Parts: sequence; structure tokens; C-alpha cells
Amino acid sequence: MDVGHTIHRPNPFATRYVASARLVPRDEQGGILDLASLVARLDALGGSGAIVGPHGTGKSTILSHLGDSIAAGKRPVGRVRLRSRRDIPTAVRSVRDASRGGLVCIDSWELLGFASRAVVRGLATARGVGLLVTSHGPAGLPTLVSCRGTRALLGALVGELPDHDQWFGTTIVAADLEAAIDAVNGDVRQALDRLYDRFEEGRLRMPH
Amino acid sequence: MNAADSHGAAHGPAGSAPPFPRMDLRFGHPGRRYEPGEWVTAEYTIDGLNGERPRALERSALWYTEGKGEEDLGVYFFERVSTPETIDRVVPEGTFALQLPPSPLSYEGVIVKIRWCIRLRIFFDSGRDHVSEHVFTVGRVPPSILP
Repeated sequence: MDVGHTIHRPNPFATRYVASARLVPRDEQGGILDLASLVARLDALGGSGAIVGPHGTGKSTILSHLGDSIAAGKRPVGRVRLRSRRDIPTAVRSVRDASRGGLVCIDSWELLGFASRAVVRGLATARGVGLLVTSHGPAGLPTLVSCRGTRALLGALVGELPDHDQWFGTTIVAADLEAAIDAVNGDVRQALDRLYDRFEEGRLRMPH
Repeated sequence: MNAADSHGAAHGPAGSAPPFPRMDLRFGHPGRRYEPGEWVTAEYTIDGLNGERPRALERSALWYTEGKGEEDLGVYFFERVSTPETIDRVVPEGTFALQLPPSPLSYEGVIVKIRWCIRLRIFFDSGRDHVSEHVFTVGRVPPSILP
């Protein structure tokens, strides 16, 4: 990769680099998750499961990649990202319209509320559709993965960002990572936001 | 001609797959800075195909936002070359030109940036593909300064 022009220097913590689909799914030690094993475990759980953990700990990243992995195996996969309760009908329709034997991935399952979750689970069971969801707490589905934000996870994620060798140790140093993750109680997503700001401060101090 | 910075992204099976090619692009203007309405000319070369047969090449010019929140982008020019008769005309090297629109202008803000780029995306018969982006500047909006 060939990057060096100051004014074009990308901020590696921008959404386009740290969006869930861009990051490699990792465990809390920073190790890369074995997606094939998770797919097998999901099957062993009966075809439905939950990725559980606090906000910003990598649940959506795992969901995105697991969905891709399952879809690559020719199983139909639907995806719903809930942003508010207004998206509940979308989730219900996705399960209702899914092919038998398919899987529906629902991000932010907790937004459905107790009654809607029961409806979606019942509908999925009746239609023979699997559910793979992310949730901040107990989801009423077997837990497939538990997520936790740690310094090690943040460090591993930062290590895979574009041109890491060119800015790590100068614009961003190890202490910045520790300060960022400690300030937000393990919320890796918020820590990455803080590092975006930190990178901008460093970038603007550089001569143009 | 002026060598451009680039970012690559690859998709496809890992492991024993051959390395992805290097896609270099040179803009006609020094500093890669253009005015709205101006013509952009560019030459590119794709090295390291290692005998792998390309299935298609996409050439596009687009702007995108870069920041912490939701992203936006607009594709201004797009061309896909995918027939066996034409692919050899654009791989492993080629040129193209396009006239820029009046806006948006490039902007180097703190919270959000607006960037223009030429994007080359090559697809192989194996199913692999590789993307290379080459940023250039439109207009002369000064970068923001932290207080």
C-alpha cells in the first residue's frame, strides 16, 4: 500500500475502516475467531443462537462475518439491523418471508422487546427458520458467543487497520489505546471513536 | 504524471491463493488537484497477474465521506468491462478521462472529510476480486484547523 500524501492521509479509525463488516471477528484475547467452528456450534445448538455482550464489544462484527460464512455455504441468510422499535415490522417480515431452513440475522435483538421477541421466535420455529441475533443480555436463545471488550481486543483490531506501521508509535501510541479503552469501560466501538479524534489531533499537528 | 496514493482491498479465498495484483494509477495533473468541471485523465497499470485470467474490470470515479458516523458516497462515473473481446483493451493497462461535476468539493474536515477517488476493481475467473482506490482533490477548500 502506498500512502504518504499528508492531505490525503486517511484516518484509519474512520467508519469505512472500522465498520463491522471490515473488521476481522476476534475473541476478547484478540485471537481470530474460527467461523467454521461457530457455524458447527450453531448447528449443534439447533440452528439458532445469540451473540451476547455489552455495547461495542464486537457482536455485530461477528454477526456480519458469520452471516457471510453461512451464506457462502448456500444457506439462505436474511439480515435485519434494528435501530429502533419502528423496525420491528421489518424483523417480523424477514422471518415470515424467509425460506424454510434459512437463517435470519437480527442485530440489536433487545430492541424488539419481550412480546415481539416471543412473536419472532414463535414465527421462526413455525417456519423452520433459524435466528442468529446480537443482544446486550439474555436473549431467550442459546448463547453462541459471549463478547467482552478488552485492551487485547482493541490492540488486535487496531493492528489490522490500514497502514498501521506508518502511524502506530507516532500519531497513535500504545498508551492512547489503553487510555481510550479504559475511559469507556471496555466499549471498543467508543474507544475507536476516541482514537479517531486522537488521530485527527495528531494529523493536524503535522506540517502540510 | 503524478503517482497516486492508493488503498487496496481484496476479497476471496485466502491460503494458497496467489497474491493480489498491484494496481498503480497516475493522474495527469501534478499534485492530483483538479478544479470543478475540469477533465481528469489517468493512466493505470496492473502488475502481478501471474497468469490469472481477469473476468472483468470496473473503473469508476466517486466521492465519499470519511468520518466517525454514517457514510455517504456518490458514484459519478462507472464503467464495467467484462467481455472477452474488450477485457484485453483495459488489462493490464489502460487510460481514461472524465469531466468533473461542479460539486462536491474535496474537504479535509475533522469530523467529516469529502474525498474523490478513482476506483479500479478487477474480478478473476476464480471468484477473487481486488479493489484499488486512488484519491485526488477537487477544488481548493482549505483544510479545517483544530481550535
